Amino acid sequence: MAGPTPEDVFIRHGRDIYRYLVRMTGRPDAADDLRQEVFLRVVRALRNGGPVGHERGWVFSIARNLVRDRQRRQRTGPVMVETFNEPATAGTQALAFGLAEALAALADDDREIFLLKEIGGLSYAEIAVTCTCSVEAVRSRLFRTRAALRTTLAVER
Amino acid sequence: MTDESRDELISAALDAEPVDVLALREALASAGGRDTLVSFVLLRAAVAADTAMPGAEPAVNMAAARHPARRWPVVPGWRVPVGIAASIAMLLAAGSFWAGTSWPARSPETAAAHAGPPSGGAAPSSAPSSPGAPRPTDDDTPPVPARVLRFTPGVDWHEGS
Repeated sequence: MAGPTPEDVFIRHGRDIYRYLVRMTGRPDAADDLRQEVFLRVVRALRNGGPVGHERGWVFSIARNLVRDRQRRQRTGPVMVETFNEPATAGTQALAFGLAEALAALADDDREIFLLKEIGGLSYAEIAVTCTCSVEAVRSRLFRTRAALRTTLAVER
Repeated sequence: MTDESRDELISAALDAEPVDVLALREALASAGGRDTLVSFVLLRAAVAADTAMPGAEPAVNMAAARHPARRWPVVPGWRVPVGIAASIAMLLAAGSFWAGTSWPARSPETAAAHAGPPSGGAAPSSAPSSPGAPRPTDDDTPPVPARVLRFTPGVDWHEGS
């Protein structure tokens, strides 16, 4: 059975990769550039044998590494951007508008794990592999990030 | 169970990670645990409500990456740069042209000497097409005969033969 084509991978993960990149970089234009680079790497990798392991985790690993490279080059934190161009569901709209700022205030590692979970949908084990840390560390950091966001955004019933 | 361990347990359960079910029941039995669960669910909904859409689709770039510009095939072990190969080919062509135009043409005298002395016997020959014959010229002057064949009637030639 033939492996996935680049178009398949792009259709399945392209939008979430972009959302992840926007949140990690804080800049839609940078996210666009990085997304292009992600899928160029996907194309090259598929030409040379295909994804390693779980496809979604693999694509997000590429995105995560590109973000890391960019952060190392620039050493600048993300800036808050308003990317909510459609009304969110009732009860979450105000929360969504504050989320960008709250995410930008997080440490890079915490924001990375949180977004790999919430946007990437990766399991703890996949995040652990991607971020080269233990599953227990993922579980603990994810909880602390949620607790911090809950406090920052005053998320209550 | 501390509040922190309780909330961490709820966080993991929300992510569909394996947790102790009895501990989870205990965590959710408290009002604080339920508040935590609702807060985390709202947080997830807020992230999911992000409708950021990418700009230009990268389909064109992906197509270009999948089908890069055609390159000349390179035989392994014979990696000759295209520029050098083209230069060699041009030099060979120019040399061939120069050799063809400047090579000295054979003179009639030289041709006659190569053809040998005129035969006095009756040796039939295809003189006009012999390779030693002088080249025809463009003017009206007939070419100089390279060989003269003489036939003696009754000796070399018989009527009716």
